[in-house]
Formats: sequence, C-alpha cells, structure tokens
Amino acid sequence: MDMMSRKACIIPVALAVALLLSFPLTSIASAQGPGGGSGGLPDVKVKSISFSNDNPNEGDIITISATIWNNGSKDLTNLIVIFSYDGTNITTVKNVSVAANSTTPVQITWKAVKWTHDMAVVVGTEKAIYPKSALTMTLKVDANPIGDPWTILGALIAVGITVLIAVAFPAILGSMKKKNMK
Amino acid sequence: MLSLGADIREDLIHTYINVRYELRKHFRRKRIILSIVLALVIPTMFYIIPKARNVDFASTSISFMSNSLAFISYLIIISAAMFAGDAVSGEFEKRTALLSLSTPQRRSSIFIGKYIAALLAVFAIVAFYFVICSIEVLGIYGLGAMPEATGKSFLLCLLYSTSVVSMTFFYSSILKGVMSSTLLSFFTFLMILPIVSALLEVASVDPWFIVTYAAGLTTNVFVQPPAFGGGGGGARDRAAASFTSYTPNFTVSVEVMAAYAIIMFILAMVIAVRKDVE
Repeated sequence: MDMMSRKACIIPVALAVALLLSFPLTSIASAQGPGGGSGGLPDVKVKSISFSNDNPNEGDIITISATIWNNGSKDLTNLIVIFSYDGTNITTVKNVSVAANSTTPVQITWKAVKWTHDMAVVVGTEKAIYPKSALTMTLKVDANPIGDPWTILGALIAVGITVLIAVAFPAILGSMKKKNMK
Repeated sequence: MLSLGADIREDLIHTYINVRYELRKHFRRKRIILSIVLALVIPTMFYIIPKARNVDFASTSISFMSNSLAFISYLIIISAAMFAGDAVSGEFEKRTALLSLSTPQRRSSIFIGKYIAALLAVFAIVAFYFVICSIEVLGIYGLGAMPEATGKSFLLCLLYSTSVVSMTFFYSSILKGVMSSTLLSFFTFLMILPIVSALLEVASVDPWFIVTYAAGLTTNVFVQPPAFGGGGGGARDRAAASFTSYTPNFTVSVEVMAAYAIIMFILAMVIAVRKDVE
C-alpha cells in the first residue's frame, strides 16, 4: 500500500471517528433504546385497539382497550399512552411499563359522541410522543333517536280538546248567564 | 243540566254540519285537487329526476326520506293558505256572512266547523305526501328499509299543520280582505319567521319560540347515520365553533307548535265571533 492510498484510508476513518465522537454517549443510549427502533426511537407500537361495543349509541360508556407492544430487547418504563378521537384528546394514561418483547394492555372508558370517529392511540414519554407507534381505528357511534311519538300525540290531543272545549264553551257560558238571570 | 247537555249536543251537530259543508266547498273549488297534485308532484320529483339523470338515489332510506320531506313545510303553508286564508275574511269580504251568520247556529260553531274542515283538508294532503314518499322508499330500498322516525315525522307535520292553520285563521279573523290575510300568512311562514329566526341565530339567541324553527324537527327526527369519513365530527365541530348554530329541542318545539295552535285558535275565534258585518 503506497503513501497515497494509506492517506485515503485514514481520512474517512478519522472522519467517521470524529462523527461518532460528536454524538454524546447518552443520546446514543437513549436513541437506540431497547432493540434499536427505527429512527432511533424505541420499537414500541400500539398493536391493537378494541372496543367493548363496536356499534355504540351516543352517550354510551364504552371501554377502549389498546395493546402496547414492546418489540425491543429492553424494558420500557414511564411511558404515556394517549387516547384520542379525531385529534381530540380523550385521556392520557401515564406510567405505563412494557417488558422487552412483550405486550401490555391499557384500558380507558369513554362516553361515546355521535359520528364516525378515527379512534387513535399513540405511545410516548412525557417529553415526546412516538408517532410511528400510533394505531387508528374507525368507530361508528349512532345518534340517539330524537323524541317519542307520545309527546307529539299528547300535543295533538291537547289541541283537539281545546277545539272541543271551544265548541261546548258558549253553551256553558249561556247556561251560566241564564242561571244568573234567574 | 239537561238543557246544557242538549245545547252542547246541538252545537256539536252544528259544528259537524259546518265541517261537512266546508269540506264539500273545498272539493267544489278544486283547491284540494291542486294541493293533491302538489303533494304528488313534489315527492315524485325526488324519484324521477335521479332516474332520468341516471344518478344514484341517496345512500340510505333515511337520507332519501329526509330529503323528500324537506319541502313538506311549504306544502303545509300553501295548503293552509288555500283552505284557511279566506275562511273568515272571505265571509266578510263577499258579504256571505250576512247569510251564514243569520242561521240559527252559534258563530263559534260556524268558525270551529271551518277550522276543523281546513285542518282535515291539510291533514289529508300531508298524509298523501307521506304515502307517496313511503311508496318510493319501499320501491327503492325494500320493505325493511322504512325509517323508524317516519311516524314521528308524520305526527310532527300534523302538529305543525295545526299551528299554521291556527295562525292563518288568526290573520283571516283580524284582516278584512282575503288577499291580505292569505298573503300575510304566506309571508309570515315563508319569509318573516325564518328571517327572524336566522337573525336571532346570528345574534347567538336560540329561536326556540319561533314556530318555523320548531318545524325543523319534521326532518331532524330522521337522525342521519354517521356516514361521513373518519374525523368528520371533530373537524366539523371545530369549524362550526366559529359561529353558533342551534337545533330545535324536541320537547320545547312540540310545546311551541301546540302553543301556537291553541293560542292562535282561541284568539282567532274570539275575534271572529265578535266581528261585525258592515
């Protein structure tokens, strides 16, 4: 190997070493995490979302269950799990721990709001959320029926009774007048 | 007591005779036929036009029914103006009151007979409109697709009809001309009350006391299934948050319609009975 080729080897190696040293060790440790997830984030995902009632009515209290999956080789602690519908936060479950290569269920209850919603669950920490961990499912919440026919029938009967009283009223009034005259 | 009972019975018979007479009059004048034609043509358009243009019908029977019934309030207003607009004012304008009021029956019996006849005629038109819409739903979506709220909507339309007829009778009682009472009734329900309602909404005031606003229930009872794509609700709610939008409350709206019907009927009767023939 001649002098020139040696220099050609040393320069890239030196650059690589310098680059490596430029990253703080702590950041490498935190970024790699257990199992070294994509983009340096922990390899944690929301594996599934399920609902206690798949076709609820408006106002029903339903349980939303999410399974958090840690695909890394290191236990994860102090995670937060955010439940939301259409981008509106429902609740955040804190202090969630998931052992390496295992799953943990997280449950919340929610009073269903009518419409078809994108129900999303995402995992993160107090400092940052992990967007790639998110899972979204669609949930259709039917609106409650409006009113009952008996109220309307009652109103119609009230109008009918008023008309009937109006028919009889002049006769009653006339009879009372006659009595007073006597 | 026996005399009172006999008096009431006699008044009821007179009212019944007046109802029959007024209904015959409506048929003779062909107004009822015109209303029936409107009740046939309007909902049929919702079937014919998509067929002719080769466009799909609404995705659900609920949407179809709700769309078809969007125009029933106009039909109620037109029918009420036709059958009730000249009920009292016509008698005075044409001086026929000189004949009818000289008969041995109470003015109240004549008035109530006219009122019930107008109400029955409008009810018949509303029922016919619903029959046509129901036949269309059955034809397009099948036997099991009839929306559950159809019955409620029908009853609400009948209730709204009573309030519109009462109001029209009130105008007919206070005004001397047929044209003015009919036009005022038209403008009240087609323009004045909807404009007042819209202005109140702009001012963030719930117009619960406006009868045309309450009549929105006739189609609102058809609760639309949440068929929009995910995220629709939240985004819609956020967009709607920039201005206040109100929807009629069921119980309050039913009470408002009943109140208009009863109060306007009583006022109209009191004014009509005391009205002098000049």
